[in-house]
Amino acid sequence: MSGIVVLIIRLLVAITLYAFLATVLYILWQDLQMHSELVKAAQVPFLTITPITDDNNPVEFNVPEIVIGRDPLCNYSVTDETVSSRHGRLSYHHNQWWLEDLNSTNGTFLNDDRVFTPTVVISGDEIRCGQAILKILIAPK
Amino acid sequence: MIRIFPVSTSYHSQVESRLLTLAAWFLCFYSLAITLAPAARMHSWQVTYRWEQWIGYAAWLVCTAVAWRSLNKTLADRDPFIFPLIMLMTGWGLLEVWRLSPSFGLRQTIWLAVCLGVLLLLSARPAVLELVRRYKYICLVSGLALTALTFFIGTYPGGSGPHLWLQFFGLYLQPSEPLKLLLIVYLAAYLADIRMQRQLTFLQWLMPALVILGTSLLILLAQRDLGTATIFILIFTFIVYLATGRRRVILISLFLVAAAGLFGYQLYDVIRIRIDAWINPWLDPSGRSYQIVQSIIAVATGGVFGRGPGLGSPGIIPVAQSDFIFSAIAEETGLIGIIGLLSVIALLFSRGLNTALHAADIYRRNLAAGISIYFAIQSIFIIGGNLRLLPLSGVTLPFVSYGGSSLLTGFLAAWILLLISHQSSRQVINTLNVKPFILTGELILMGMVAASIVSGWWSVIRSDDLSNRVDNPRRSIAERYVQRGSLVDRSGKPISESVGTSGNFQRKYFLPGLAATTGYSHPVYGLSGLEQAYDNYLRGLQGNPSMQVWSSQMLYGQPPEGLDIRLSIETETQNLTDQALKGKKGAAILMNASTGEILAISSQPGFNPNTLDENWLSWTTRQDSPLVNRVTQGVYPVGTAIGPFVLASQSGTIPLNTTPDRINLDGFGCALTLDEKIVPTWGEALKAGCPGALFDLMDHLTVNRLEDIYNAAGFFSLPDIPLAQAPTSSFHALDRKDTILVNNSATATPLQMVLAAASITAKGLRPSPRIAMAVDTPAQGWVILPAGQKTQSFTSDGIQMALSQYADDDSPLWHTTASVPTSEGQIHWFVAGTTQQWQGTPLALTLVIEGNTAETTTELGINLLNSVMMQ
Repeated sequence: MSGIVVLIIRLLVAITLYAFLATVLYILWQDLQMHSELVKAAQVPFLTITPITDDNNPVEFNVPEIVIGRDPLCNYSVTDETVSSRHGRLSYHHNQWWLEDLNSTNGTFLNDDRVFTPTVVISGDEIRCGQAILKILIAPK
Repeated sequence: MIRIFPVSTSYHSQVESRLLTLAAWFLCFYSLAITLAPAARMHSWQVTYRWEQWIGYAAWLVCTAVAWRSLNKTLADRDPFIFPLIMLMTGWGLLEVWRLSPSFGLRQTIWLAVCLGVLLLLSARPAVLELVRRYKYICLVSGLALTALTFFIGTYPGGSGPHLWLQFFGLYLQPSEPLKLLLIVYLAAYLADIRMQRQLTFLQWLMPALVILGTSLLILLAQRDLGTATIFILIFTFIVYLATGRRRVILISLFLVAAAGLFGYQLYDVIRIRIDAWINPWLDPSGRSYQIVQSIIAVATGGVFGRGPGLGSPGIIPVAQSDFIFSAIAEETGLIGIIGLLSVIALLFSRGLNTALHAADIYRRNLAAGISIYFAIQSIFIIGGNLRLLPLSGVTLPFVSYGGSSLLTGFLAAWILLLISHQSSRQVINTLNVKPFILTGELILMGMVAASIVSGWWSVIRSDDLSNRVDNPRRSIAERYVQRGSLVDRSGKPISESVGTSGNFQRKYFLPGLAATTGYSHPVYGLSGLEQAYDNYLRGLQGNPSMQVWSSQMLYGQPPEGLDIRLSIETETQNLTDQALKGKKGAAILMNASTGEILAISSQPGFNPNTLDENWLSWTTRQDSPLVNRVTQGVYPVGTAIGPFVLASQSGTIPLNTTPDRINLDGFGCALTLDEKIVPTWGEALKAGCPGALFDLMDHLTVNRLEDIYNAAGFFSLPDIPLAQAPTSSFHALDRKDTILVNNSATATPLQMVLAAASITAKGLRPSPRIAMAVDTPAQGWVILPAGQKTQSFTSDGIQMALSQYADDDSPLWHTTASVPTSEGQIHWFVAGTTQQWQGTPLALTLVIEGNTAETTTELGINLLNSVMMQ
């Protein structure tokens, strides 16, 4: 008899322990869902890249990350010898578009200032990758 | 519980309140289980319950509630998981320490209160973090100085051991614990501040930190605190890796640790002992690897469900409350509890890394990451050590183990983590390289998964093997609480019985003369004889329905009540036999010749198993080895005792109408002195064990190869009896003269001899020996244990021949006596049995006396048989 009572208490011990763990995991799961909803809800403003140095057509993007380079696999590829294969990256976070250099040979410049750390880009800025100059237009939200 | 953890409006406090409430219930049930554990152990409600751990629970509740209210005010935006996870671990450890030792539990409770006080004092001072950043060198150097101080005034709290502690007003502090935290703070600050200067090479850049690490390691190595030293290196490695993202750092550091390990293995005994005990603990399970073996046995005993809080015996492992608390928890809560605990640690680690990812600046990020890694690595280290996944290192399990310095350091680190999470930004810092964090997280989680898998290996797959090991003291502990089955004689009178009440059952032996055969069941000296052979029945593991065995293990952590075994022994006959052998050295066995049931079995000098404690040492060292069962383990040269079997193996009738030509052989005379004036008959000469007569007799016989006779008598085969027996020689040729006079290769045990004698009485059928007759099962009552096969050894013609020479005219007995000289003096056989004239139970008797005279032996044997037949 005493064994059964103690067994029930032992079961309660295990149940409360796992209830604790399940609650933690459930709340974390909820947090994750809420987070992904938030991410989904956060609209990425359209960004248009207009080449200045050649006569290609402007390209409009609605993705949060744009890699610029000579490699045709880049989101925006430039056919210029002075551009590295993966040259620079534009990414959207903290409600801003940011520009960073991907260790390019000839450097990335924003309005003629060399980019060492990720830098905020606003509409109308000019980016220079090697000798290619690109004009950025960001659509208002 | 809602009143204890009242919810404020914020979402975080709702989550936390819910988690803390669940943790409080978990600990409440845990305490309750410990309180009621004695009742389950004793199978009764009339027991002394354990209440003292409720002090710990109450203190935990008060501390948690007070700290929670304070945190709600000062750190409202903290991570809602870290505090409940830490408090769950602390409470769990605290209750387990109370359960292992109330005096340590009380001290740990006081430490918990001290930690809470420090937390309250700090909670309103978030600037401390910036202060230690600015004065990082001063902090670290004072920490190192404190550690170095243990060289001069270091002590060990409990008796003798490594001098790693400092004593302040009765409180003991281990400076290497807070030093870990100081190292993390220093590194976090250093790596954050140094980022600006880019023109240095990586090594130059890291040099000051390496110098600091080297100094700390030197101090720790000088103290032989190798576990802490290794943890220092790993913490250093991971923080540098997370801050710089260079994977090389991990590889180099792992290589260095391995190289240092190998180097240390050659140089230091401490390391060699640890590594050897890790690689092969089974070589020295009672010495150097005692702790680790007992730790694994504890995990194995826990199994999947555990034995229940308070129901296990984790106190068997040395220093269970600090180094081996994980094994203690494993034994009492099983694999379920272990996986729960590992999950809690893994969650705490992941929340810590999450805090680091969202930290407000680089210093805080390094700090949070370092603290998470410190918790995780130290946990994996000691858990891995307890499970033999890693070599054993004497570090604590953070928050769970007993140890004030460790608890205080843990709480300080936790406070920093909470503070950083409170000050965090919602977004990940954009300059952050996330890859090292993911890799570190994966590595640590792999460690946790490995620990779970190894726990499963010990507690499920190897559980039975390990629990049944002889050096697992839990079986004899269980025997104090659950009545072991009795051994009873033919008529149900107890021979060995466990007397007392649950909690203090003791084995009593009522027929000490039978001790060599029935053996003993002793907590220290283990099992022997029939107690060992039928242990599974006597412990109730066999013969009970398997459902009942399982439920008893599940409910009480004990086997069910043992089953009684009925032996074929007759107490009166046994007493007569013991009486006959008293004061002599030898063996006697009396058997029912047709069934093989052993009625009496005696080996002298014997021992009294009731006084095993007092006499063990003298009995094991004495020349005349009283613990040996001479009936089954005594090997004696047969000499002329082979006689009856020589005649019994003949076929057809061989006329023997003249008297023997001679009675002596090579100067060896008869065993019994014959009247010299009268020429003896064949029968008289053979019964008296005259070697010359037996030697000449074989010339007249059809079967005269001794090895064939020896084989027919069964002396080349081992009797089927579950007792320790001397090994039998395999079939080999025997020389006639040597066998009759003295030959150490023609030998037999008294048991083999009595079986051969029984076949003469039982018309040539050799029975299989039988001592355990039946077992008293709860479902079917007495169930007969299977008897062995009988063997047709001799023909009826042969039996006729043997009886015609060896039977007495005036009594329904046949017998022979033999004297054989051995290196330790003469031994005398008396082999006898009843004849067809006897209407009662057919009997066979063998008596061997070392020393004394053949006449006395014969007289003893005849008298014994007569008095048994008179009964």
